[in-house]
Order: sequence, then C-alpha cells, then structure tokens
Amino acid sequence: MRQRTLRAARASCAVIGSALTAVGVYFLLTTEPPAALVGLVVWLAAAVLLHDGVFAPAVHLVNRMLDHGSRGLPSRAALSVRILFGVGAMLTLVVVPELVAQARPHVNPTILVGDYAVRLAAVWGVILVVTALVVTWSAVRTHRRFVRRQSTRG
Amino acid sequence: MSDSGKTTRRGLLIGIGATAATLIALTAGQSFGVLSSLNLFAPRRHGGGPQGLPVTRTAEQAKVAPTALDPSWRLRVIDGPSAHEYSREQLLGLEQTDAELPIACVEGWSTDASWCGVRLHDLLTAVRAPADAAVRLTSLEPKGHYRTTTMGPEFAHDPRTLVALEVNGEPLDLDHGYPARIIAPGRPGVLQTKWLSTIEVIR
Repeated sequence: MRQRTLRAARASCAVIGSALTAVGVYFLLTTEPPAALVGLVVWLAAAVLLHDGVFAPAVHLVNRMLDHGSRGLPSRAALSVRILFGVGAMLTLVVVPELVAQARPHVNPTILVGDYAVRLAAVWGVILVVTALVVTWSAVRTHRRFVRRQSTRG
Repeated sequence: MSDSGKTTRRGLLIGIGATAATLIALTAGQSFGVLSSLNLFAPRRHGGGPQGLPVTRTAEQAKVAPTALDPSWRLRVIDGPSAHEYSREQLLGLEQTDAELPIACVEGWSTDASWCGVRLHDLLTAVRAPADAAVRLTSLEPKGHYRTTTMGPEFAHDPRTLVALEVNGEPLDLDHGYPARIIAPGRPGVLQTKWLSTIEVIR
C-alpha cells in the first residue's frame, strides 16, 4: 500500500515537473530572440563544463578526505561533520567572489560593505568548535555504551 | 549517511536543507529587515545607501552627472508630431501622486520606498497617447544595456506608475535617478529607468 502511494506520488511529481518544463521551454522559444537563445546555450554549456570539470571532482576529493577523516565515527556523527563542512564550503564559495570584487577597484559605495573575510573566518571557527563538540559527544557516548555492555556482561 | 561512506538520500536532503537554510539566514537580511542583524555575507545592507535605498548603478558609473545636474534639463514626452517638454519645476507644479513601491533588483535585493511624482498616465494623456500604446523610455546615460527600455500599456497606464521626483520625502538623490526616474509596480529594477530623458509613445 505504502509502496503504491509512493510510486503514485513520484509519478505525479514527474508528470507535473515535465509539464512545467515543457511550458518553460515553449515560452523560452517563442519569446526570446535567437541571439538570447545562443547566449543561453553558451551559458549552459559553460555551466556543465564548470560543474563536471571543476566542481564535481573537487567535491569528490573533499568527500574522500572527509570519509577518511570521519572513519570510525558512528554514522550520525559522521553525517553531522559532513553537513558542517558542507555548510562552510558553500559559504566560502559565496564569499570568495565578494573578496575578489572587494580587492578590485569599485565605485559603488553601497555594495560590498562588510568585513567578509573576518566573518567567514569566524563562521569557520564556529564550525570547527561544533565539529569538535559532535566528535567528543559521539566518543563519550560510544565509550559509555561500551562500559555499560561490559558491566552487564560481567 | 552509512558507515561505508556513501551518502544516503536522507543525509543528502538534510545536508542540502541545512546549507540552504544557513545561506538564507546569513544573506536574506539585505532585503528583509527582520533578518538584517544576521546579514553577514550579503553584498548590501538593508536600508543602506542614500535615502535608505541601495544603488545598483551609480551616477558616476553611468556617467550622467553633467547632463542630470544641468539646469537646462527637460523631460520630453513625444507622440509623433506632438511633443511636450517639462523642466523639473514644471513637473513639480503638476498633480503629485504618492506610491509605496519596491525596487526589486535583479542583483538580488529588494527594498520598499515611498515615491512621489507625476503619474505617467497624466503625461501621456497630455500628448493624447492612446490607452493601448506602449512607450519607449530613454535615460540620459550615454550607453548601457538598459539606456532605452520599452514599457507596455498595462504598466504605462497603471495609476501607480510614476515619473518620480522624490523618494522617502526628499528630492531624488543623483544616484537614484535625479532629476526624474520611472517607478512602476511589478517591474524588475533595471527597467525602472533612472535619469529620465525622453518618453516616446510607440504607435
């Protein structure tokens, strides 16, 4: 019963998604001039190259390192560590272009007004502290469980 | 997340949700006052900029200061052979209308402001433009992607579409489009033409 409901929900999502995509493609092709469509194709091709050529390998590499670093941790603690690093990595990706733009000459005094490098460092500090707390808490819990098991056996 | 290092679907969803929530919390404050104290990483501050409004393109970037500050500036409203010219003082002498409208910039910020100026509809009526005509708006900018824009009749004749002369109770700052700019409901910020030069009826 549950399986059938899930399958029906997925099928309706697929149908709705395909229909919305079709509407989007229709309006794209009927309202945008050819030059804009060519620009869009170039942009999408560059996005695919950037994703598959740079982003995906980098994520894979970091993932391997995190795997290695969190070996031995219980799965929940490992997930928490991975999410914390994911949040930090994503914020870094957002902030680095701002730092680059800040370093260049710019004439608009209403943008790039923050001290982004210090704030990013502070956020990474918080991430490291929370990671340390998660790992410690996880180790304490594992140890307690181990002791309890030993005492019930004894 | 499993012990073998493979990401489970639940783990992936939790991760994406956590990163999205964090990013929103730490950047959305540039547009939402309630989150402004958490705004660590957005490029703008809520309420920052002259007259409490951010600026995407400054007068300096657009190279408009000499023409925009020239006392001989006139707004030309043209419909074929029929043309009217208005100085800023003459525009201020016409019936003024207030409108609370946001500037919603495609660069990701949005801020509400109180605008005051002449209804575009009134200026178009003065040149006897038909109610279903679109208009072409031209800025004083010597060049720029949005130097000229086209506005459909549904916007041009909306009673809240103004040739704005004031914002938040003060004459427009040069960076906000002095001597006159367009402000219309439901249009992206780049189409709210600043440093207005001509309004031309398209027939």
